[in-house]
Amino acid sequence: MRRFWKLILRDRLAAIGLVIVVLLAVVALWPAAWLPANPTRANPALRLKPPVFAGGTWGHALGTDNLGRDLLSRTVAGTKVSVVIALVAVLISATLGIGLGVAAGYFGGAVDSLIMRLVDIQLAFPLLLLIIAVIAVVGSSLPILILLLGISGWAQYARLVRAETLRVRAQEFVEASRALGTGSLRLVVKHVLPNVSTTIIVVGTFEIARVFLLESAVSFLGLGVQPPTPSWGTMIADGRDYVYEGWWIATVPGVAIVLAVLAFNFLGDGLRDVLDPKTR
Amino acid sequence: MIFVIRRLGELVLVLVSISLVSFAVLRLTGDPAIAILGPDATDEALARVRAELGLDRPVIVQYLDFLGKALTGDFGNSTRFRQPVLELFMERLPATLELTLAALVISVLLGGTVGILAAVFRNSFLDTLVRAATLFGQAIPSFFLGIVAIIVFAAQLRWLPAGGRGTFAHLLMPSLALGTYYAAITARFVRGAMLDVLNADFVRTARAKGVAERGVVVRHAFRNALIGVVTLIGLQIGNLLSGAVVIETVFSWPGIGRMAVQAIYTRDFPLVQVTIILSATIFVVINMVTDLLYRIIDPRMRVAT
Repeated sequence: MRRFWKLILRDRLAAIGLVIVVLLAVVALWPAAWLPANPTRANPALRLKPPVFAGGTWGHALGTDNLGRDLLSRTVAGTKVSVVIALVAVLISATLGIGLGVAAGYFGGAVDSLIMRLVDIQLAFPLLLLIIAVIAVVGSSLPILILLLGISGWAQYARLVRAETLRVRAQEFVEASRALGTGSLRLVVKHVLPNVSTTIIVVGTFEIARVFLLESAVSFLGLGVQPPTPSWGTMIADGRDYVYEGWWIATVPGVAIVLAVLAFNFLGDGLRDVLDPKTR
Repeated sequence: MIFVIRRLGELVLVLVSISLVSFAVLRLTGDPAIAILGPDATDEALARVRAELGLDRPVIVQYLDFLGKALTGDFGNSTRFRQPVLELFMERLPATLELTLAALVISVLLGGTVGILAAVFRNSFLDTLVRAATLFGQAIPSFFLGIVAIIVFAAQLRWLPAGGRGTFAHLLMPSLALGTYYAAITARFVRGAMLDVLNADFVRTARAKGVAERGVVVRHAFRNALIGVVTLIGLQIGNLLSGAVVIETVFSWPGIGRMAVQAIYTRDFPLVQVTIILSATIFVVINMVTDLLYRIIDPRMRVAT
């Protein structure tokens, strides 16, 4: 474990990524009561105040938006929303993918070809359009958004886990256990998961970055996280109408997204080099 | 050949699932009879309208009817514009194709050039710069890049129009915002492919034969690196099409993406439906053509399958 941290920290980009990820975690866990202002309370008297580095005051360090809401508080609150969505969505797709991958590899035959066809279909489907279509019908809510984003990523895990399951299943001790009539499914799972866990962690890290981008795009279109809940995507959409008199409204949450995506991509690259050198 | 048949079967499966999703879009959005007559309509009137629209038949029959009409190009009328939705879609399609194509050109020309240069001058300052740029290019959401471009070039410098379609100046920012992410991916991919090829045995042989470095790069390395690039480009066309939804909204670009988003806001479901079915179909067909093309270009793949 100590060797692991040493290797990660020696990789400069991965170390930067790790620092930002830790920072994101702190921001996401930041209690609402400790925010400088209520992220959803509008105050017309404080409209369009610039950030402190552009002539504003420390009272609203990152400025205020078109309704006079404090952008620092909104970005922090938005971080919480985006991080929770991304984590749960990636957890859903990993669970789904691992389950289906084991099933495909273990049962083989018709189950396998059905699941692999589903993988192909999933990879051929225009995701953003599918998400838009479903939200157009059922309306947007947080659980639906998370579920859709979660379903969007399972195919990669399924492929990975299936291949490993096939390999493990072909080994003699599994054959032997099946001949003895003991539960070989449990045995397979027990031997598959440790072998794929590092690759799954690497894939999951990149997936978090991908979900950040996808969720912000859906929210930007007004189909994801709904107001008054702040999210990075909706905040950028707010700023779109104020490019002349309030450039910071879109810029502040936008920088937050870029940093978050960069951090997870850097960390993913670093983790892959350390944990999984063969897939480079 | 078996591969082609399998791929065609898959295409049909994907298209059927697309049609199912889109059929559900229209069917799950409430009773069209109530939408037409209003909430105060009598039961008899509602029943009459349902019978007229064929809504009293079993769902499976309705789906097959929908499928049959869709195959002949009849997707119904827009509830907002009172016009066949296919007409509206076709009117807006050229704008989206223009944007997608421009973004693709940026991805291939910019990404390709930069990727080749980075590979040829490996580990130079230029290479480091390109690698940093590709990392950023893949982390910036296209819509945010678009808004930053509007802030800088339209609001502050007043060099370019902030939205709309017409002249080359209108196309510049939207296509760059959409294309940058893919240019970054292309650059990264081309750099990797070129490095692989530049280290291959046949390139060493060419060098040993005394072929000039320029000839090695252009004739031997680049041509072989190109094979993978074709697949990449095909995959990007599909993704650019669905990415256009977001960029069109940012730049008020009058394409199908912006139309679909507005149709969702105004609950114009036939219009949403046609956009989703047809864009998804274009996406899937392009992916398949790419896959087949790849196998034709690269003879090694023909043996492998």
